[in-house]
Amino acid sequence: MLEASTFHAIFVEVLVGSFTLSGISFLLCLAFNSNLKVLDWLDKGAHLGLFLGCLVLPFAIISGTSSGSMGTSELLAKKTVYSIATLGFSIGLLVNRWKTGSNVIHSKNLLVAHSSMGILTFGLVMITGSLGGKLTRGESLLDFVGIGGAGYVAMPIWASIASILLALSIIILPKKSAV
Amino acid sequence: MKRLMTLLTIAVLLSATPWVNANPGGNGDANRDFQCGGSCHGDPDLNSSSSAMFEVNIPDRIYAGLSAEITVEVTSLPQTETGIFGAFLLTSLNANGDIPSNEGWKISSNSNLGQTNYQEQVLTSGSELIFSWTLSNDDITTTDFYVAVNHGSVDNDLAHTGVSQAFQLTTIALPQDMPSVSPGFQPLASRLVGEDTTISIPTQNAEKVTIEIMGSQGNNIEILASMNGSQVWEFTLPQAIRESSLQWRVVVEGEGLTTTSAWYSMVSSEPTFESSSLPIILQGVGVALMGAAFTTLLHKRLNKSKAIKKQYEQSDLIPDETKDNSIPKIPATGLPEGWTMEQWEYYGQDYLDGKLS
Repeated sequence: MLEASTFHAIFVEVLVGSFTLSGISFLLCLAFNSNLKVLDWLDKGAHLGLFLGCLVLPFAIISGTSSGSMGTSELLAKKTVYSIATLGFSIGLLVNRWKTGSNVIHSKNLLVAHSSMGILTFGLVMITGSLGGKLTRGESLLDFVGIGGAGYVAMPIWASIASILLALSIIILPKKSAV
Repeated sequence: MKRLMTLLTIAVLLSATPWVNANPGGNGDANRDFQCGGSCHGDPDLNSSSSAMFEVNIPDRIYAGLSAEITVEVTSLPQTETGIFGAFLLTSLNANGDIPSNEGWKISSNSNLGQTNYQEQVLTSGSELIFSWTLSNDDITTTDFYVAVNHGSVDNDLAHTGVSQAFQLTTIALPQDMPSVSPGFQPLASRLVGEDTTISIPTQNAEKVTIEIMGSQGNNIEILASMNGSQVWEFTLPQAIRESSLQWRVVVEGEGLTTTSAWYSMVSSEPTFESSSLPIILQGVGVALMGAAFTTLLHKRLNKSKAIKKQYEQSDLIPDETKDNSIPKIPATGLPEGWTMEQWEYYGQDYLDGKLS
């Protein structure tokens, strides 16, 4: 019978591939920021990768948390937080790309901000993957730069709920008109 | 130049990925079936046979429900880069479903003081390692066992695997009048530093119970257990002042017979991380939504400046000739291939100035 860890490995392989496509495309968006034709293709590649990653990420989180106990492993707890955060950043980027439309590649400031957020999201995936490597193999490439170790800082529940409410108010509530 | 540097950076990052086989840094003690070792060490292109020789020592009699210790001396081990050797205790070589628990065997201790069928040791000198497992089965049964060893090498990157001959463990019924620990007894395997630990041992036909704690150089410490109820004996282990481990066993005497249990392990450790899942998930959702909110704010702010610019844009009210002056003149060959008029309005002048490719 297939175990949760085997499913997790499958989902993670798809997920890392998708986010790598997205991350490299966002990186190239910064390099080719004045060539609209290339930017158009890179923009499509970046968001397609992000979309595929978002589809697979929930399954990777569920299978990952099922294959271990996050309540007793600091690394798994940290990995769970990072992966859920990655999902939030990714959905935020996709929704805002959809709402902003092609302005994202026409405005240089917006392009730099949007691509930087995309690269940050890819960075979160890298750190999450590194934590997974630490968990299963006891070592990780990111150990060299001091990221990916143990040491989980737990937020109190009230702080988590406050941040959820604050974030929802920013996202959902319409801004008052100044007129 | 900027593009070349970016492409070069990506190429360097991709080529910097180390080419390694299996897990040269070890994989950590855990319950693992041979699929784990086989997937890394079983590929014929990446795999080589180990020179390891196995000598398995098993008890003459194993009673159902009572623990028995298997000791495996692995000799002729080669020197490797890391010195890490992983050993599996398996019930088949099918690569899956071959953990002893699949056949009803419970591992109560191993030589690393864990309760797993896979354990790793580091060879610092010589060519021999000793692995042991203490296990029990409540049923009367016969099971084939194997011990497999995985390791790396020094002169190349190949992963090596060695497997012992099959050996059988057969459990027999515990005689009615034999003094012993009760079948099915599973001792406590871990405790916290700074806490006294009282352990209850259910027995049968026991008149005296002594606990032996393994000391250094074979000098075992003996503690006499006191009876607490019918055939239930208790003893207290004093608190550990730092993280440590010890091994202990039970000597049961009664009606002229004496039996000695296998060695049990007890690990004393500092309190580890403990939390319920809810705060972790809430924290993740909080960070995720804050990330999404930050992204939304950033896009609103940067897009708003453009929208305001458009709102106060009055160029459509200005006569055509003035508007024509603000929009770069379209070349005689027409718009560049793939460009829209909107793009030309923004970037047309840059194109004419030769700033765009």
